[in-house]
Amino acid sequence: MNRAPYRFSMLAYPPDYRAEYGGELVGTALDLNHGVWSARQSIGFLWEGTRMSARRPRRYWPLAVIAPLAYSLAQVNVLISRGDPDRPELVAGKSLAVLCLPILVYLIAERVAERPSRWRTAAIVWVTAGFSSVAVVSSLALKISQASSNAAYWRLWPTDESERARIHLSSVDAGHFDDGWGVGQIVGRELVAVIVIALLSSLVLRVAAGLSPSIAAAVVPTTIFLLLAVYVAITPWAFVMDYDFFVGDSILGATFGDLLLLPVPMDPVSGVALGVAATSMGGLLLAWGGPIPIRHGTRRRLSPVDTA
Amino acid sequence: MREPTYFLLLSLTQQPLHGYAIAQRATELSDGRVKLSAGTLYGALDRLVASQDLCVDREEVVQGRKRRYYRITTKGLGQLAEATQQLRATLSVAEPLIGPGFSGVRP
Repeated sequence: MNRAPYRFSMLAYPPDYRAEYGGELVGTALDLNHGVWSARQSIGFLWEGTRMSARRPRRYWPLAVIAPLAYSLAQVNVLISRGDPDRPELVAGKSLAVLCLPILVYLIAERVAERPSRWRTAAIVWVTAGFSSVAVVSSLALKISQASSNAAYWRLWPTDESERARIHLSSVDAGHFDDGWGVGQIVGRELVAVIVIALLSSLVLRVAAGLSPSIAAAVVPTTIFLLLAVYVAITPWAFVMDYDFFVGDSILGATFGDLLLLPVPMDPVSGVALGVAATSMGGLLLAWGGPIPIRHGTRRRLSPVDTA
Repeated sequence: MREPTYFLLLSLTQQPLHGYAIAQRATELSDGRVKLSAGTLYGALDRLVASQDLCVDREEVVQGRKRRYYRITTKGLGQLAEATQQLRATLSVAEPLIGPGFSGVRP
């Protein structure tokens, strides 16, 4: 009996399911077709295997971090080489990167709902490894951000020749902010914003932990995005530059702007921000013990006792 | 409940069966209408075990191959009874409307 063709189509199944049920599946397919290969059986394996893999994305969750990270590295390359940040492949990469973020947020929300006892650790890691890195990267990217925001501003409003725009742009060119803010002040304000966000996040996570899993899974992602909005509102770089809703000078703010304004070409700094945000959320998820595993043959999520 | 799932559950009402026997029995009970491929069969079994309509009765090794025997649960029997009741209700509405030619009509 030739099992090789079925082994190929069996690759559509999740590896652990294949290891457990593969022999039985192939044996049954051969029995049903009197020991000969059948295209119908192969197509059945491909179809069901793909469906099963799609329902169990937890094994591949690091891809939700890697994809935005790869996109952000591509945008770093654009920054260094002064290339075009709006090339079709980069726009496609940005769309993919933005689609990955809700996956991470959902997996975090599931963890919050299932394992609330670790909320303090998770919140601390999020602050130190995530948002703090945002502030550090912001300070390093100051010059780049100024230049790229300048260019992006003219792309968005090419006919804006108002006095205000002229003053702002001339001040950027001169390397000074209107209010005379220095880098230290700005990073300080970013850090204050980060701490405020962290405290609010901890509070929300704590409150959500008292809710039912399904409600918490809805509350947490919504709140994370609302907190990002608060951050945008209080971040100093946006209003110092007085660019209205355009927040290209704030790394985290730029991420939020990108999420809201996906079709609008933005500057490459915001592309870097997507990678930072994804890494931050990946760190939070790891601090929580990773996504909740799903056992074969049951839809029930493993409880903390099972996972211990 | 879809027809393949209905006949899959129906095939297990008399005794626990393994995958190949379930597929054969479902085809037999449905008069050849339901022909489950191995992928579809095990996908359905996985879902029905997850929803606790079925459970694994025992495992045997035959000619070096593992075989799981599946058994219908009380919940699965309830689902089957409910689906049968719905079919009966549909039948009671359709039969008088179609009239004398009803018995000659095949689905």
